[in-house]
Amino acid sequence: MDLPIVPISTNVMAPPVAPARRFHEVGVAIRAIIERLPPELRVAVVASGHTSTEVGGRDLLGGSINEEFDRKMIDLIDQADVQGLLNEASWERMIDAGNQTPGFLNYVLLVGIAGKTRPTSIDYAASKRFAGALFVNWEQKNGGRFL
Amino acid sequence: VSRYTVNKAMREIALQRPAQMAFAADPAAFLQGRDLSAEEMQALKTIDYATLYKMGAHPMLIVQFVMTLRRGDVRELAKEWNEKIAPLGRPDFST
Repeated sequence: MDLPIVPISTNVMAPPVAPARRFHEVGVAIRAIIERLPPELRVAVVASGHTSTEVGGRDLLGGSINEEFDRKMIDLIDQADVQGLLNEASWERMIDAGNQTPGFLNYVLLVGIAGKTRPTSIDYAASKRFAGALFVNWEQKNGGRFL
Repeated sequence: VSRYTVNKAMREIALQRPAQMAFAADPAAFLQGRDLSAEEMQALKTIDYATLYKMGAHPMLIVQFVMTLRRGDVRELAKEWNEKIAPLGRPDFST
């Protein structure tokens, strides 16, 4: 299968990390690029990230997820509440939820790509170890064009 | 600046087998010539993860550094780790 792939890396691990607003702006910019591609192209955006988690912190093997943080963020994504998401996804708030939680910023970037549309599906499984698993899908209508 | 140098040394040791072997054989020689404070040098040489954590080294790199070099039961390490790290809160680890 000949499948062109454009890899994009983000720094969510080593501070200084860009604020959520910038992640969202990058998502909006990526969307604008995709929309300018020839209409016959089908484009999928696949990203990985995570919700609250702690690595190398106070519980070496137990992980440490903050389910309350996760649920709140998931609700904001589900409601397509961009401003709410940007307000909540501050560095301080994320670090408070777990020292590696800024990996969540990749979801903020995806929300930028998805536009103001609500996800078509969203699933979350809280894990006692490591991070919770959050799956979000935005199926695009109009043959993938945003109208 | 030297916080970054600490992170870089730990990353090399965690990811590169030759660096890991060189450090295990002679930590002082491995760290020689790096822009590190005496305290940072000492903490790295003695794998003093609590001090590294307190100084603001990257927590994820500390874990990898320690796990790469550790011997013995990981549950024993975890017990000691949690006792030492939990009281230290969350130091700023920006570089």
